[in-house]
Amino acid sequence: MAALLRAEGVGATLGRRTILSSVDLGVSAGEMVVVIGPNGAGKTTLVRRLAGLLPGDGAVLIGGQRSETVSPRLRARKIGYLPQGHVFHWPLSVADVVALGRIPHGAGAAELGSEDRVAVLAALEATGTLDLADRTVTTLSGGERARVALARVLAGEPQIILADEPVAALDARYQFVVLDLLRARAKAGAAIVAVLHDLSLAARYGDRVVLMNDGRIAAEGAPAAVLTHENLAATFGIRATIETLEGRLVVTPQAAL
Amino acid sequence: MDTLTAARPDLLRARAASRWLVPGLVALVILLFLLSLGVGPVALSLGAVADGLLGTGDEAARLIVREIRLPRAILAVAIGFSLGLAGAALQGLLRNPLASPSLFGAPSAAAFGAVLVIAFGVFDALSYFLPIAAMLGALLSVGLLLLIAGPRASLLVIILAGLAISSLAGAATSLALNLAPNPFAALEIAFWLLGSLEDRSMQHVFIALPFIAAGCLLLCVDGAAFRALTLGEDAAASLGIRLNRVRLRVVLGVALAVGGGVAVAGTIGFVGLVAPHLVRPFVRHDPARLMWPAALAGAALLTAADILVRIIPAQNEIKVGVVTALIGAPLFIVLVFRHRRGLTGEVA
Repeated sequence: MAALLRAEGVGATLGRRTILSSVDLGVSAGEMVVVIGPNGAGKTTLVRRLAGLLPGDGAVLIGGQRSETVSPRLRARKIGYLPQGHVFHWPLSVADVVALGRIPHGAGAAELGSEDRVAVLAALEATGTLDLADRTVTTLSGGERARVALARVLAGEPQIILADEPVAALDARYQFVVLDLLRARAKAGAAIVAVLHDLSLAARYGDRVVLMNDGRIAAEGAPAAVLTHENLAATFGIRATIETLEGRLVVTPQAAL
Repeated sequence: MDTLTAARPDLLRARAASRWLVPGLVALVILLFLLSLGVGPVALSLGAVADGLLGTGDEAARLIVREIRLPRAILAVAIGFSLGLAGAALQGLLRNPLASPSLFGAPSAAAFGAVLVIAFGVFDALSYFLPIAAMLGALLSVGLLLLIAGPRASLLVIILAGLAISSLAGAATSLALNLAPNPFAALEIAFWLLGSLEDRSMQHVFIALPFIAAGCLLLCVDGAAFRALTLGEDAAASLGIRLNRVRLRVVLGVALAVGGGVAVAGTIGFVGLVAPHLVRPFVRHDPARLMWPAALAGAALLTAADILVRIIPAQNEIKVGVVTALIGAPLFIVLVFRHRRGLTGEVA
């Protein structure tokens, strides 16, 4: 299948430091790719580069077209980017925040159109934040903010979703809820890239797992092929138990090497 | 999904809640404008003001209204409007309610530009070079500050940098006054710098207005961008906002608006800080819907302040810049106090 989003020899530098170098990665429609790696491996930089937010070497192709040649507006319709942190700078209502996701569709300053409303409400419902719609976003808990942030991305109905640590602040239940949501989007034909820290969740949700280290892809493929003792030792510097429980791969870090 | 829309019709329609805010503020500005034409050493009734404006009354009233008070009222509305808009835009861009042109040292820098022109008598004080020089001064300060701030600087950095720029501009202004060939002209300038709308003519209006209007045009178009910036710069960019263009428009817009205002009225501070703050709760903190109400509130504030200086009995008329600072600075302190925890954190 042709990749919806493809990185070819992608690199990025910060000052004189190389943060990302010659990364090749393709994400197809219907696929959920999980990116893992130790701190400072370049995961966030890769995602930002894919989102077209950073200049650098190589090419990012959206549906075969070079990212720089796609207008920002069109790119915004195709790619939904969920940054880490889930920060909101003004105390807007949750409904207003989620409506920001409609900006690429022309819902900038004017009233929301009916299509926009349907999309916003669908996103609120999907993320279980409909009851929060009237709340002020800055008063929400970390987990609620994370779901609102995701709802904002979903409201844009993007074909490609780039989520940087979407479940970082969430309790166990909502980690499943959010990742199930992303997987459902993939099943519905979207291409998903999600950065995760939890290796078992990566194994569980990744159709493919990309292991980053030192700005490069150290390993890539099916979860079982990537999450090996050798790879984890070489990149994370940990010893881990890797076992299959209830038919699923479970990775439990045991000690730092 | 339609059932959902039907179940919660209130959800996405609350945007109309503040429907009366803009018309109300417009009415307030018009009222204050007319009041401003009636207030002064010779108090005029509303009827006399109307007669004076239309030229149907006696000659004295006509002169007072048209020649003395009309320019002053127009400048108060225009400058207040542009400062309110500039404050709202800067706050939107930096995602912080403490941002304002004065905080950036823009008025001081603009004043320095203007003083340089007058003090050395290169150009007539009533030429277009004055606002241009003021604008360049403001441009330098705002541009420099955004450069220092970068995408993620803390507000503390911005405030400190703004303070440094203000001080530098102030010192440079003093130096220019010292070195000015004509000390009397210099003294006049120093007094004028305090910010006043007294004795301004239509010529001042014609000099300032094009700059102020151009500035407002640049500042008013980025509401959607400011709203998107609620999510931070990366997310806003991912929503298709061209942040470099937005930044450029805001910097130029603030420089034009502040430059035009300072060139004819001197430095008038804190309107850009106070005006957005006053109306923000009424637009539910939405930085896009804040723009027009903030501008109108700025116009109302400055016009009201300019009426106040004419009512307060004093040997010499109190400078309007003094009044806005007396109101604005304490509010600024309160705001800093309230945001002090955020001040140590990041803006972005």
